[in-house]
Amino acid sequence: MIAGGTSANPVEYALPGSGRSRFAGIMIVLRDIISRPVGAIGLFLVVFHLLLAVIASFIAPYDVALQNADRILQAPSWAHPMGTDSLGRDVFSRTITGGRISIIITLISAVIAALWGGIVGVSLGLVGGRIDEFCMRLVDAFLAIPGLLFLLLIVSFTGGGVYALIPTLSFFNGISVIRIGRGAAQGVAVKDYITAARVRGHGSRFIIFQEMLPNLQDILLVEWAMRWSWMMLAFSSLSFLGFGATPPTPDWGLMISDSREFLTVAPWAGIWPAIFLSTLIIGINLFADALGKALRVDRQQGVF
Amino acid sequence: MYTHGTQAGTLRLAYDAGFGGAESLDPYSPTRFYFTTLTLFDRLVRQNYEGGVDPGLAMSWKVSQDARTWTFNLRPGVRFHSGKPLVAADVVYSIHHALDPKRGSPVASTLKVIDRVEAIDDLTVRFHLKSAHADLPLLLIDQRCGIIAKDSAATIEQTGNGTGPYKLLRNDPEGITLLVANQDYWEGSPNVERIEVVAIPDQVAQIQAMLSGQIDYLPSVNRRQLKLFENNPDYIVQTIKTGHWPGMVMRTDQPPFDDVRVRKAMRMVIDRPNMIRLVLGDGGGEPACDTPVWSGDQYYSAIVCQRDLPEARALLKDAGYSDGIDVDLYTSSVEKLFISMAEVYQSQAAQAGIRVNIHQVPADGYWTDTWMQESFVSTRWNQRPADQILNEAFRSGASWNETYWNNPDFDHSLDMARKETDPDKRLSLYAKTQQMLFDQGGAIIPFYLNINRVFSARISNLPSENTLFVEWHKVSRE
Amino acid sequence: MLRILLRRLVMAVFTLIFVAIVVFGVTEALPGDACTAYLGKLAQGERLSNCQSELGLDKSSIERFVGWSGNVLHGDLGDSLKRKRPISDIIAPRFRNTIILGASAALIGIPLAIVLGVIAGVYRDRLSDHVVSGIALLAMTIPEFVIATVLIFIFAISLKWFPAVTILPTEASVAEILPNIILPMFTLAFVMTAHILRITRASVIDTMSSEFVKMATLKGVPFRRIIFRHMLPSALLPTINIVALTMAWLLSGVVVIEKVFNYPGLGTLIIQSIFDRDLPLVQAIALMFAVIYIAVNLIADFLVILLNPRLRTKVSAGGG
Repeated sequence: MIAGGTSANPVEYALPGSGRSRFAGIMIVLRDIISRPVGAIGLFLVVFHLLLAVIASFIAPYDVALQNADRILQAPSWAHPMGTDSLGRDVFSRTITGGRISIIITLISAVIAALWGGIVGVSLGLVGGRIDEFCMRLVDAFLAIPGLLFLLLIVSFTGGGVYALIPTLSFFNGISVIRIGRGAAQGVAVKDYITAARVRGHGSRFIIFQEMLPNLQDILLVEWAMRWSWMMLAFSSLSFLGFGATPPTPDWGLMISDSREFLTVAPWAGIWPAIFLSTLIIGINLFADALGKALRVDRQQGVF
Repeated sequence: MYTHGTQAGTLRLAYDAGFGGAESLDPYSPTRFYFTTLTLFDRLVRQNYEGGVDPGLAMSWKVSQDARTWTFNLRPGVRFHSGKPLVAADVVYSIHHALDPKRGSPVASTLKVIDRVEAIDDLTVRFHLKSAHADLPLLLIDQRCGIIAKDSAATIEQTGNGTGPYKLLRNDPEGITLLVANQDYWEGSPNVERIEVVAIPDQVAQIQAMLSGQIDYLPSVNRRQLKLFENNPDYIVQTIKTGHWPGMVMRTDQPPFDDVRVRKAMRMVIDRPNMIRLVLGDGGGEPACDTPVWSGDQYYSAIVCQRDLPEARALLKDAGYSDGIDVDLYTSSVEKLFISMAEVYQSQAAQAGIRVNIHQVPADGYWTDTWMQESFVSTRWNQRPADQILNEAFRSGASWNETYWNNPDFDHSLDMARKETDPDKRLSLYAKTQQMLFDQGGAIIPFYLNINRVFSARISNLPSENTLFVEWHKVSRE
Repeated sequence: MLRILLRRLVMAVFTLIFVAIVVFGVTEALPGDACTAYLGKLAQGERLSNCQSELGLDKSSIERFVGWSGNVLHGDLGDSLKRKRPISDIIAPRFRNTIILGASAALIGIPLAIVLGVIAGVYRDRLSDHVVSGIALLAMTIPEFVIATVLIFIFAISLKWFPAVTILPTEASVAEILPNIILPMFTLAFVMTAHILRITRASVIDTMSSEFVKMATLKGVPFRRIIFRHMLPSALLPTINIVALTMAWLLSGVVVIEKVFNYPGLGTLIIQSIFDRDLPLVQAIALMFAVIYIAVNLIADFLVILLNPRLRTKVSAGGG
């Protein structure tokens, strides 16, 4: 399968080592990303949104849930720089806070997905044989399950609210990561140092965690970034459909959904969250692309 | 090709496809195809805009001295869409169809006072009641009591064969259902040639269809959405008062609500106009005083209630709660309004020392596990005539007696009201029951809901009345 | 060759069985019961127990799975709890509508994506590449519902060129449907084009830098001939599988598009059935989506094998 065809080129700076050289490695990668215009924009957007999510509650001029019957659908003004929504709430305060839940959930889910998918994938690549073949059949079968529908089901039936999404999102995305991890592991499996480790008498577990994962971390890092952007899309779709964040929590998908009927009289209530949501996803994508280039991870442009 | 707006002579209205394709054209079905059945069928009698009863398929009626036998004279010359003339046997069949427990018709409990119906001759039909009821016509104006043809139970779900102003051309509840004018309608041919009932489940999609001119009638929009149509000459906006009410009910059989002073204090702390404003928005509802009989009902008793915090405190102190009282309110997002109502109540009650602890339980199972179980819960009811709501929700032993209200005097008054043939005395009996609920009852009913609808300015003769009672054949469209 | 095709079919069948088990298992494991959810305020006493026995909810899960899967094999998906009709009757027109939407979007999207992808790949890093890739990035990252809402605002409400929401009789013919679904079709095609375009572009760039294209260039083969004779076939063939996977993946995005445009397809149906807690219907629709996914991938497999005899012996794994 072409999608799994990622090749690993572990470069020196990414090798495990002392704290100092690791820091230096990160700086080299960052510098590389910033040196590309696309990467600089992406990194800026991601950092901007992450910072905003952290400080939003301190700089938001109004309580995000505060309704005001006298200020319904007001145009932008000095008091409300982005206007007010149909319940008289301040769009600016809600927009800057509106990414928080989705960012927390998707960021955590993407990390879990990259980790579990990576570990399983790498193990399969190393073990090979019948187990590997069987598991890959399972993976293929799982891909045939409509993931979005399962997200809808889990959210609406478990009553666990929006945090019930974390296991589900990580599970389905992790399935796709397995292929990537496995493909990459097959690329490195024969490499000399693995052979050396085997000769030294280390077991598979040691080889997976001490030798292979560190060497595949670049690939998994890029994979994590891409997964993150897709999860943001998926999460906002869920919110939009009414299965994600619950009112009155400010959330971009939900805000767009709530305000789209008022587009003709109050476009500001929907446009701002749309701009913020889109710029974050674009930012993650550009960042992931640049990260891939900086780490020399050649990721195919597919979802799988 | 796609055309904008609709042709003259065709009225397109949005339908929310609430039963998702399980819609039945049997007016007695639990999944009746609302609106469509309204225009396909006639009732024996219909409600006029004053809340009283007007002739329908029955031209006149008479009640016996003991109020246990009712005789209706049918309108001659009326025909079903199939061409068959209407006779008394059809009425007998329809009512027995409604009462048949196997059908599970929701109207059966409303009509359960009816023992049997007999045809005296082709145009005379007699109702025998189990117990006296002086307001039988008020039960028969129910929109579900359409008259169907004899022996049509097996086919009615598909054919919708009634005597109403519109005939069925195509039944497609999830797509476009087509209705055409019944040229032989007994009250004259309808003004609008065709009605298209268009399924649009999504609220926002309904709005967008209205804004882009794909439909011309939207039965329900919320206060906020009104902004889109107000001050626009292309649209007409109407606000209609209804007797639908959301509320919070206390179990009168459980502490602390078994103490009438506590119940009274709990109801006295509410600032009703303010609650309407915060929960519904200005004009979203009409204040109510904890009685379920709404202002449009002919038996409505105009009780006045004022917020009185000192009196509430005094009552609580009397009841032994001098430091205020803690109560647990169970609610759920099963209805949109419940949570915001609970929150507003919480903040208003706090001012009299009532500390409301809101428990939000999952919507799934709310009506089975929480409602009528916990001692203080959210509830909601649709508009019902006085006799119906008082008997269904407040009579001791009624299966939906959610306040566990048990007052023999109250029950007796309801029985007396039913028997009473003098309208003035009946009115005073119903007023007495409402006063009893206001003085001692366990239901908090802060307001009745208003419904807003929007339609194209090309539509005329559409009075600002409940959809159920609009005479659709008199509506016209440019 | 026949053997490979056969093996693919068998794999598809096994995948379907697996999906059926997972779908049933997950829906069973969820808390809640169709009867309590459906009856709401009326869910008490006799009415509740009647409903439960009528729907077979009093039997064990395993009993019901055996019954269910047996019936599914016979093409009987059961009755909808809420709609009280055979599920196959409910799904059939919806399924057809979703296929019409998906297929018409693919008919526009795939050729467009290939043309633009090749242009962007061949003229890599030139202005045309930057413009095409930039728009593709926007199409992939801006959520469908934002795109759809903007399109409705501009083309339906302001300009009144196309209908805002789909209003159609259930039994509408394709000719009746198409003029009514221009906006949803366009939205789906837009997103689809972007994804496939990126794949095509990457593959073209790969092939352009491969040895045989370089050799052909050195030999003095005309540029146009290199593109059409040498580069395109070897660049596009390997993308068929991944294009199929992407398209199948995008199908779950159809839920959002259908919802925004009130389109009577499987997407709006599944949202409704989840709200209704109509589990048999949910299961059947999930199965339908899996069938579409498997079918699209099977078609891609067959295409690859048929178009490229060299692949007969080394068909890549997966896709089923």
